[in-house]
Amino acid sequence: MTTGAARADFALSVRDLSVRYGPVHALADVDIELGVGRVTALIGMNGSGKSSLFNAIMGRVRPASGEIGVFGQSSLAARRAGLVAYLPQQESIDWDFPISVRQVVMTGRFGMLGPTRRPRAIDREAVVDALRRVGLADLEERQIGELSGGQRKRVFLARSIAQQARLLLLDEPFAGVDKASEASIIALLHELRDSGCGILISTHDLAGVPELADEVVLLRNRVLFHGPTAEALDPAMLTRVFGLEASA
Amino acid sequence: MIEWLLEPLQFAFMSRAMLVTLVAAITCAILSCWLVQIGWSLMGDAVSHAVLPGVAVSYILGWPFAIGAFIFGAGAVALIGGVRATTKIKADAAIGVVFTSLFALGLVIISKTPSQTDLGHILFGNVLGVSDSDILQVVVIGAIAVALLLFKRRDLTLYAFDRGHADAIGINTKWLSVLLLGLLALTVVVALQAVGIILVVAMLITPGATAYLLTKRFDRMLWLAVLITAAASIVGLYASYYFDASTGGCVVLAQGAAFVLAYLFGPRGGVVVNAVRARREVTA
Ligand SMILES: Nc1ncnc2c1ncn2[C@@H]1O[C@H](COP(=O)(O)OP(=O)(O)OP(=O)(O)O)[C@@H](O)[C@H]1O
Ligand SMILES: [Mg+2]
Repeated sequence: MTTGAARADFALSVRDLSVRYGPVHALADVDIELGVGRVTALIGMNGSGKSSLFNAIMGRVRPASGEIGVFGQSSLAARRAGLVAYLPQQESIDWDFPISVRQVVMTGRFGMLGPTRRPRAIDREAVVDALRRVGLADLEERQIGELSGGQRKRVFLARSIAQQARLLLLDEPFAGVDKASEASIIALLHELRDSGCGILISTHDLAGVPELADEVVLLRNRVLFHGPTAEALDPAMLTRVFGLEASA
Repeated sequence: MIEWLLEPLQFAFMSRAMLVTLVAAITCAILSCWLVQIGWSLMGDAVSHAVLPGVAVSYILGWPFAIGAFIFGAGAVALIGGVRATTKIKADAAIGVVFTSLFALGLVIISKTPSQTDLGHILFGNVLGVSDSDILQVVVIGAIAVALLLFKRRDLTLYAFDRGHADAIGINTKWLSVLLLGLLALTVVVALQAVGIILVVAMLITPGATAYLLTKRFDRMLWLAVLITAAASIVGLYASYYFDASTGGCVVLAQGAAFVLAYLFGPRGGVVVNAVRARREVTA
């Protein structure tokens, strides 16, 4: 029934997406629709195109073909409206950068601010609230590198809360995070899901997926499966799709 | 003492040198905070050398020096970007090839033109002999660069810290990088009047690196870089007057000395402070 236009009741709708780097087909004919109020795990081996998918959504690579809609708008319009939050991989951040926890969270508000991004009182309150929600209110003056791995992740979650983003993209959020922090991050993600966010998480940690995700996309440069977690992690399915065991 | 301080300023050439050096040094110091955080120090080196043919051509054609310098500075940035986008050559190699070639082009042009242009002045600065039109160019361009940098400072800091988030909220990061590189070209144009092409890169790196040793907040880093560089410029100018030594050399040397002080005694990474702290912890 739906024609070319992306439907507004999907947090993310990717249609016919192909991404190429010269001769390399990183993604081919990818179709993914993510509902709101769902956590979706994106699983695939190294080089299967997970980061390429994120980069295409973020407008950092130009797709060879296809359409990407976010809440019924183009990806750029949705990003300008502050609907998309991206939680970077641990390695891509300069942890020695002279910036405080509070200032990082404040960057979540930049889309709502004027050309100089001068914060208003309402923005300061939103930042304080977000930090309280992730349990970092006491650490707001710390330099960003003076935090544990789990706390660092929560800073960026606080930023997406302050931003009031409704589509969260997380690239490998649990690398270098211990089990206790992982549990508190997952609890936060579930809160955000229940408040109506769509969440897409790339991960290698198959064992953690049942706890984390409502549904799973199995990716190997194309979508090989998209459905309920239990079905995706069925050993027969994984062996068929990847030739590996779920015992990770 | 007062007399000692006032004596040099009685000379018009010294007070003009003071003005040009301060404007150039402060513009460079502000920009340097982003350059050292993004890791673009080498770009400062590249752009400053690449403007040589532009300066030479300006002198030959009788243009304001800023026009030729800016064309070649911006052209070098575009060439480096082009080489990187179309080949797999690493960034430092692309930068090195482009700027040394342009610098060499400048040397050839100057060697083939009858000598009103003094290569020494272009390379090492001639701040004691700046003309009125030079001063006007420096002040106007410096003011424009500083105003734009401060106006966009929060976006530039976000760009330096987390480009992915800037993309995620729809900020045009390509445009920010163009803005920053364009301002780099402008700033180089200003600074080469003060210290010459060879030493511009010091003004573009040292203040930011020094301030970074002293604080954990970017906004304070900007202030500290400006204060340190202003103090170093003044000290350097007086030193050059009383020791009758190279002006650009003295200013940059004073900045280097400030870096050493911050390195030894700074609260953040100071080696002396850390050693004292470590001893206290052992004895406590
Ligand atoms: N900039 C690039 N230039 C050329 N090829 C690339 C580039 N980026 C990715 N690729 C290729 O595209 C394919 C998909 O890469 P991508 O980074 O999307 O995989 P991934 O699923 O994120 O892998 P990982 O689990 O290792 O992070 C790979 O074959 C990779 O080699
Ligand atoms: Mg990846």
